[in-house]
Amino acid sequence: MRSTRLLALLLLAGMLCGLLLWAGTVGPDPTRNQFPDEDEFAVDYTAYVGERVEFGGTVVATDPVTVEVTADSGRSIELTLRSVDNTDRISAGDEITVYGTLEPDNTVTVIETTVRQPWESYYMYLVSFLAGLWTLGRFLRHWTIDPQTLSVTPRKVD
Amino acid sequence: MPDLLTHALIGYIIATTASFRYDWLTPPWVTICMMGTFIPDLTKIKLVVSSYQIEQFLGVPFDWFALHTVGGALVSVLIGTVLVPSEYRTRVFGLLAVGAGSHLFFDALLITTSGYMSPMLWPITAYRFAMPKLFLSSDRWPALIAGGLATVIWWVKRNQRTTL
Repeated sequence: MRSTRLLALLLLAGMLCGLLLWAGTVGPDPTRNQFPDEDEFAVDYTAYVGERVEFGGTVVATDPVTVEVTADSGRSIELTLRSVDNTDRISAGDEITVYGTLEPDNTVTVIETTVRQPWESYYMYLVSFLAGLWTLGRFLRHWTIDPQTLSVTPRKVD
Repeated sequence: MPDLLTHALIGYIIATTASFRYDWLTPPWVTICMMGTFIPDLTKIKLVVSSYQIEQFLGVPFDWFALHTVGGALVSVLIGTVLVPSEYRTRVFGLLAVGAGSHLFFDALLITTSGYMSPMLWPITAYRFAMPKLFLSSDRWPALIAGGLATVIWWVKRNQRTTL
């Protein structure tokens, strides 16, 4: 039982790794509504000028709205947003996601923004963590892990 | 995602509601459905180790987003299924799949700035479909509604147990 299960787990883990590697080859493609983000244009800005982009960053100034974006690689740039609606809902420190067109000189003409205050993110992480504790608690109460057979079994089935 | 609390509550609601019809669906099985709702958000591991860091380390393309798709979720559900004794596999597969499926379904209704849902149907398609903008992952009301509904169902279930 144990070796069969181990083999099945290795096979599935291999499949999952395959999917993760395959996913890495899926790049931005506007025909699929998959727009370039900071990971692309922070590295080679001019190549993406004139294109639709969708990215997230932190508001560093509000007049005009200026956003600091950091690519996965750690490289960060500041972008000035043009044509933002209701700028009074935006304050420095907010997290913002932007959909718009990349213009020369680190400027973006905005189509749409979504703004989130820092405490809203903390709230989200906190309740998500609590949900994890709740579910883990239920799991440990009802189920047990048997290292001998590498299996998870119910403590008591009625 | 809506926050994971909303997802877990939705899993609880679905499984507990189904338990009125299926007698075998006792609390241990409800837990399995709740665990299923966590599966797609395994992708949040990217907050700890980014896809870029792994690419640099391995020297090959890599992206965590695969976990938050039907393909990644299906393989994850199968891993969970293999971990239980064979007599429970059908149930565990079904419950994990319902949990993970409900997570992806409700995430498809999330507000994205461009209005297109994340490419969660991958690898069937990487296309991002236009979706109605219903809620933000940091909104409070989805958890409130789900919590209220879960409390009602919990109460009804509890009374059913004591009267039967």
